[in-house]
This record gives sequence, C-alpha cells and structure tokens, in this order.
Amino acid sequence: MSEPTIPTVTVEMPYVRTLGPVMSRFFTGLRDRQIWANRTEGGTVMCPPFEYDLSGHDATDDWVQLEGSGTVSSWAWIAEPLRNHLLQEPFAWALIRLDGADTDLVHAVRVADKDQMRSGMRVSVRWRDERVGSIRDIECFEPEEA
Amino acid sequence: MSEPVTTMESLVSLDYERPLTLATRQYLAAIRDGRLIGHRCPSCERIYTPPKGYCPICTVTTSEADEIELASTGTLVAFSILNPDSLHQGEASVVRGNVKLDGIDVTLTGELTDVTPDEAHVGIRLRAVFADPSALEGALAEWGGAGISGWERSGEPDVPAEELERFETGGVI
Repeated sequence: MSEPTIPTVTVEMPYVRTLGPVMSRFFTGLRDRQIWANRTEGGTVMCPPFEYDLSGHDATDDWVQLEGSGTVSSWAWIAEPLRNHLLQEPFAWALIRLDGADTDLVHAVRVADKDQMRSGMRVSVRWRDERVGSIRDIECFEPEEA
Repeated sequence: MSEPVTTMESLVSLDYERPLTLATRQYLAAIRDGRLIGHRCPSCERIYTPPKGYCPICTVTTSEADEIELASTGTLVAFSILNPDSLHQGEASVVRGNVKLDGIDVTLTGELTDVTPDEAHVGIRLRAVFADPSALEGALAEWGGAGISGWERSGEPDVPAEELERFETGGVI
C-alpha cells in the first residue's frame, strides 16, 4: 500500500466573452495605455465604465479619460497568492478610486509589506510591457512616488 | 494595433485537492496488481467501483469485508463517437463505450483503444487495458473505470444480438 497522497484535480472552463461596445472601449484603451471611464447624466463618473446608468438605466456614452493615479478606498491582504493571481508574491486586492472617478476599480496593489497598506494611500498604475486588451494589461498598482 | 478589442478570455480554473480514502487506496493497489475491485453494499447490494467506503443510498459503511473482485473483461453494450473540436479531445474521432462486465450487471465507461468509429457496434468483446502504474494518480480514482486506460478487443467472437437482449445492465454508482 502506497502512502496517502493528496491529488489535485484541475477543472478549467476557457470561456471567451464578447465585450460589447462599452467594455470594448475600456479594454481597447487599456491596450493603448489609456484608462477610460464614462459619465452618467447625473454626472457620476464610473470606472470601470458601465453599459448603463445604475440609477436611471439610461445608456452611457459620455466618455472621460482618466490618469493612472488614485486613492485606495479599501483593501484585503493576500498572503498566499493562487497560481492564477496577477502577482505571485503577497499583495493586496484593493478598491481604487481613480482621480476623477466616483466609483472604485478592483485591482492588485504591490507593496513590499502588508504594513505599507492603508486606506487612503495614493497609488498609480504600472502598465505591462506587452498589452493585449485585458485587465491584466495593468500589471498592478504601486504606491505613488512621494 | 488599432483594431478594437472585442472579446476577453475569461478562464475559470479550479484546483481541487482531495485526500485519497482508504477504500480508494485499496482500489488503486488492486489496479496495480491488474485486478478490478468494488464494494457491494451489504444492505442494497449495489456495487461501487471504485469503492467509496460507504453506500450513500443506504447510508451504511462498506469495508474490505464487502470487497468483490470484478471481471476486467466484458461486452460493449452502448457507445458514443466523440469528434474533436477546436479546443480539446485530440485530433481524431474516438469511440467511448459502456462495457458490461462479465458475470455481473455492471457497466463501466471507457475509451475503446482499437475500435474505430466505423467499426463500433454493440456486442464486441473487450478487455481492460490497465493504466501504467506511474500514471495512477489519485485524481483518476473518483470515477468508474479509474485506473483503466481503455478497452481493447479480446479477440473473441461478438456476443449475438439475441443474447445481448437478455443483458440487464445496471450502471455503476
């Protein structure tokens, strides 16, 4: 009798999703190192953009380009990244309120240590060198240079 | 570079880790010896292979005392032809079949190694091809036919149709 082992079974579903006009513009922008948000009639700037105004359900077609800096609204520390995570080192998932936006974008924040994370900290985007039109075109956010 | 991005890959990838149970380890040990075993529920007599160590229908445990050896030869009683698609399943069409084991009303499902889609028909006599022991990862051991890499022709004549009609094939649970 062999020693007990703990086998791993991997179940994968390789979906490809159609983006539609709004998310297409957002992802195309990421490929081109641009971050696009859209504005509702009420003036709310949403990033990531939405296909419709959450309050009035009207279509949203008023585009605003944002810079790649913002403020961490909230975060959670990932001490042991999973193999498909954006970063393979300990990192923070964060809600990031980009400058000029009224909603939060979820992305990874790279810091050397958990103690460096705090809500309200300033972060800026680090672009990946090879971009394909994916949320992963943003490698992560990093603390803004002082 | 200027073409808009219209799709995104959305991979769902889940890793499951599950320790092997005693019953599964005993099953794999038997497979390494070229034997196929199962447990017969002492209450309802359903047969489980690989054995679970319990019968979920009767909620009773099963053990080595309930172990039975199953034939690793049988007869093709149903089949499907799998055609490759763009993502997986190889390059050529293959036949998967339900094999009724000799002497018992149990079928196992597996790939037929030397039956082409043109040749597939019920009644073909088959024998199990046991997997290479090094390939016997526990990952295989949750499903009927685990440790059997496929089924090959035994060389015996087909079972005639009138005899096939008398088969009462129950699936393995």
